[in-house]
Amino acid sequence: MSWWLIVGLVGGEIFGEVRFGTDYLANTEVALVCGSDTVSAKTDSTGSYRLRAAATGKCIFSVALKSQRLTLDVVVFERPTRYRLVVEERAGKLVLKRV
Amino acid sequence: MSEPTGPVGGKDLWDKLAIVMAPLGGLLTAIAVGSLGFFGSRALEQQQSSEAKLRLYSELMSRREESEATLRKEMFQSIIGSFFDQSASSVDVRLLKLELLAQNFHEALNMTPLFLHLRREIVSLASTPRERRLYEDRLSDLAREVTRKQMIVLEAGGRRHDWTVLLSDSLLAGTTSTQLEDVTQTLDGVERRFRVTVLRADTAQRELRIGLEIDTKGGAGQAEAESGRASIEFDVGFFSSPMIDNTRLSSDQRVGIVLTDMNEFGASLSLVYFPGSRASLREKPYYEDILRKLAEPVAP
Repeated sequence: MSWWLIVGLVGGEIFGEVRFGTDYLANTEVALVCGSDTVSAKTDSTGSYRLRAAATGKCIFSVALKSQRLTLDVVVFERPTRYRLVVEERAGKLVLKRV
Repeated sequence: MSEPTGPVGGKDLWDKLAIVMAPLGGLLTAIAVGSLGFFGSRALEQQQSSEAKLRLYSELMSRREESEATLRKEMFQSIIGSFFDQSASSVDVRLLKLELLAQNFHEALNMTPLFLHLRREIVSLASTPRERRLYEDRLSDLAREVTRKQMIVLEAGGRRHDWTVLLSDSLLAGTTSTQLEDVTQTLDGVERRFRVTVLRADTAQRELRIGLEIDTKGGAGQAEAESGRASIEFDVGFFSSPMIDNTRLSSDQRVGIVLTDMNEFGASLSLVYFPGSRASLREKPYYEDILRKLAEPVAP
């Protein structure tokens, strides 16, 4: 078994904050989908979140805002990684991006 | 013969006032001169006292810096000297010396050649794969810790942007490239657009080949000659430190690209755009930049 496969079985963590423009999104539902595993949480009063995945690898981060679920591809590493995220309005559509 | 009317041989009110005021005027003049001397000498004393305090402070600071510099110089010579003495130490001890060097001199010394040298030694080490991996992890952890510390300093005085790079088979093979979303940042009134293209990814060496395009907009107070576009290509890995290994821009500014994490699925890449004053101690600003800064009006 290669070293990378072993790493893939080790859990990882992402953390950071989500904002809409300049306002931090407090008490907003965020989720991380890695394969069949989904973990969700709510941002705190300052818009910060922390999610722990069961494995490392490519995952999909989502945030529920204005009855929409905005998604972003993320990579979960062996070490905790900070994802500072911002929701922007582009051509009338809400877009989630890393900054 | 008639006698003159009015005060005869006597003094009128003005004469009396003149008699009274004459010594009073002298007294007031004396008081004014005395006060001037008193307050003048007091102001002079205060000025001299504050100058003396300033002199003492700068003397103490320069002495402290001098003693620190001597200590650091001796420490550096001792560690670097023993680091290159191959016969005297094992990889474990050399790693410890590198840790000492990195923790104490990472702002002044480009550690990348030492990191790469030690990695080559670890790879060629006659030991178990597990032991080699432990050494490699220790080395990369050290390099990333140095980068993390530098990023905190640079970010505090500049701007940062993070990207997630998803690694595809074609990117790993080097047959396609991935262009990341453009980022526009303004620092000290200078607006620049940065375009990062990942040209190749090497998960074994944990390195990315990066193409960086910098577009400087001609803004207010910015020389026309400074606006324009520049592009460069370089490799970035865990051993690249942004404080030293960066790109020098006009207006005494710098930009660095940092690989903060990487695995077989993707990488986390950061751009840090910062003023030259935050760059490594060994880097000196150009004379034109110093003169321009001196000519700038002082902010209230």
